[in-house]
Amino acid sequence: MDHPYLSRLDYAVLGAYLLGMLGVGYYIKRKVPNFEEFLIAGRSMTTPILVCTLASTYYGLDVLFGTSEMAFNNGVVAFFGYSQLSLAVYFFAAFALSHRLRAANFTSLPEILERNYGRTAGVFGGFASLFYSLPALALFGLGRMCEVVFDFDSRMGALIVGGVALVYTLWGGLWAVAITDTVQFVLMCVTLAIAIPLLMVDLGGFDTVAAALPAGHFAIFGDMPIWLVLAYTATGLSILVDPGFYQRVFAAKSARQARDAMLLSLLIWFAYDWLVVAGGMLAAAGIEAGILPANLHSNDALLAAVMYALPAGLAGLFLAGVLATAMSTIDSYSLVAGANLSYDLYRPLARRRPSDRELVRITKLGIVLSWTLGYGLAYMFDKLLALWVFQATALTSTVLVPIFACLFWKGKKTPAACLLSFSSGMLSVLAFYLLIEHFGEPSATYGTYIWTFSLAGSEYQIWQEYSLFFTLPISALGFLIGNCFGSNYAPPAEAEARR
Amino acid sequence: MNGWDLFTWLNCAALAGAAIVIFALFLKDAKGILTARRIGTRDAQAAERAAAETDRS
Repeated sequence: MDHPYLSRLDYAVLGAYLLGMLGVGYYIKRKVPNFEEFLIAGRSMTTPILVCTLASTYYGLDVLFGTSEMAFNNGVVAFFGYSQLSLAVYFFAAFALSHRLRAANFTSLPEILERNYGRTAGVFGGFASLFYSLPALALFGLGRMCEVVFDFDSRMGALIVGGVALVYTLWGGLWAVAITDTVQFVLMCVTLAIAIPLLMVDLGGFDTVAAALPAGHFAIFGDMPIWLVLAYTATGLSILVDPGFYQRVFAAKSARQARDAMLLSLLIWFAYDWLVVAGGMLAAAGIEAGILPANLHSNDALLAAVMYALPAGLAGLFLAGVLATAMSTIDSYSLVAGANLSYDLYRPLARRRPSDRELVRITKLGIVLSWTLGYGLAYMFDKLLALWVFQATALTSTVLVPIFACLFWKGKKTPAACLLSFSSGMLSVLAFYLLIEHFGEPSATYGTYIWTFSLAGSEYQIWQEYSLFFTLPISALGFLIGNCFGSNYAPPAEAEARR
Repeated sequence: MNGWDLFTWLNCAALAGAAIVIFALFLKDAKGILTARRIGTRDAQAAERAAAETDRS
């Protein structure tokens, strides 16, 4: 347990944090009387708690370590070219989606498909949402952090700390998730806002960074190709079909509270993004200045730099904030996946209407199942980030077009349109990934596959990140072709009466 | 002061300030949330008891 930057006080802070999270879950356990309370908090969440749960859920270890790594290697482009453009999509979601989603009183994302295109479409959507929500990347990141910081076995670290998130989610459902998210949100934000200035003062500010790093680190869009900038922006599209985002909108007390929460979260994400980028650049300068070890991996640089800068006690609090960043993602998506199993797969396929108690029981079973699958995937694949990008691409390419047709198109939309859009989107994602892995070359610099080919004397490149440019139009085309067949879905009278 | 330093300080203030204000607003709401949950739990237990009695009769 001897660590160059951590004291006993830091370990005590971390232990208290984990016990505190379990305590919150146990307290909430006795206050969740039915399925609606368990899954969408009785549709009574107000703006402050929504901000906390939105902001902490979407910002996981991928942002903390991935964005800081990009800033470490490439500079401010990580902020302007990578993070901020996708926030424009979130801005659109705040104004265009929150009102429409909340007004219709849905319970889950696949239910939108079920109500508009029928049971089969809802079940397909349930599977897509379940696959997307498996918390593999967050569990892997948690284990890796335990390994790097505490010199603790990665799998065991993910099992123990991820297990804490699993237990309080099982106890209290969305209320436990949201209240723990609130504590985690404060820890994430405040510790980062304290650590970065301390690091900046220690190193002599950005004057030192400018002297230590190449001038290209301060170019707004760096040397990124315009298509890559657009591709990174397109990754933000996944929020438009993110089941966790939808769940929070359904849980809001009103559409206005949901919209306000999104707008406030944008402010938080903006500031958080910049501080992560600043931390990555300061860490790179710290290595050049000889303050940090020269062999430090770019992925771990922010963590090492911050631990170096923070005093005893605060370092433990910061690490609790980092654990919080991962745990808030694991708990939210495990809950969503659990609900997909009970509400979106079991309920429509059951012969009789399941009781509230039955739904809660199956949701809990689904939470354990998704957590276990996520844990298994985390240690089965060595390219976890690629798996996560695949999960997001698959969900966006299959359900974005049919869901947007439900929300924004009042004309004809048939079940065939949804099913053809879903299946053509899914097949095109699989085909794209197989082609790019077969014909492309792995790029060590960018950590992706790039397919370079010549056409009419000119050379072209297709990056793995460009997948949505191909798969989304194919899904839209599938919808248009399918819409020529059949008529609008008419819900059975029984289903209507049930609502 | 370097412009990037200033930008970083402003973002630190915005992030920490916003987090603390939002947490304070959450604490203000928390009492109402917990009271509502207590009533909700009581109502649900009462409904369950009533359903059980109906079944028996």
